[in-house]
Amino acid sequence: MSALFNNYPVGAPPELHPCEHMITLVSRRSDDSLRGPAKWYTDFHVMTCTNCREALAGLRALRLEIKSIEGETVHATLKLSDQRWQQVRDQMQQSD
Amino acid sequence: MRHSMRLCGGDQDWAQDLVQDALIAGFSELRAGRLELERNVKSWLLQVITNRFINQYNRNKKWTAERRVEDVEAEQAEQPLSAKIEAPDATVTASLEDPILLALSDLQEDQRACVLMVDVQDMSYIEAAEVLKVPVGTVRSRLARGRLKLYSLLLPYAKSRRYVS
Repeated sequence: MSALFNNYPVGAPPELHPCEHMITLVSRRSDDSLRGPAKWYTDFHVMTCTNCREALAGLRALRLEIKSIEGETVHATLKLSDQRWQQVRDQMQQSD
Repeated sequence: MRHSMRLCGGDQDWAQDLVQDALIAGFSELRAGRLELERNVKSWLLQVITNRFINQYNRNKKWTAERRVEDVEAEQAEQPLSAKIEAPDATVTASLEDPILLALSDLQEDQRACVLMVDVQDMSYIEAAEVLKVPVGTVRSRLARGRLKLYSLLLPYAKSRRYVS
């Protein structure tokens, strides 16, 4: 796997402490799933809030790292319950 | 946030959604010039939060006020950092398995499922919500908390390996 947090933009990654009310917004901004006013608001907040800015950078770096496990034997390693995996398989089959 | 938490009876995810919705609505109103800063913005936001809570409550007929904040916090209590990662003799374990996978295994199952579906499998929030049979907002919330937890689990490992200064 790649070195952890090599994707972090500048310097050492800090602890992440985004504002409580911004947690999901910053998370969604990190995967570019925000649109419209929610995106504008988050960008505006991140510009003025150091903690949320660091959180956004950290989560973006983390997402790149997570992608590195794609293709590995996730099923065997992560021990989701049998019920949960069955749920996932059923839904996948339905969507096919 | 406190007002919202009280309204939602300690349901943190719901409370956060209400606060976010209100702030986004306020920001939109401000941009559109329909909200003046001279007005009492705090009261306006509290009003929006309350109205949205009532609307959602009426729509969902979901009443969780009997849940105590302490109970919710206890449910969400973070599990200790995996000894597999931090223990001095963990190098054997860590070399056998990817630290990201080890950290993922320390997440609560609901959070892990969301991280796996969205970040690893590239599923959309809506697809993940359909699979897990939960509202999209719940997926967003679980994913956000899962990512933060994952980050905090991996950071000490990264530092110990001197990947970062």
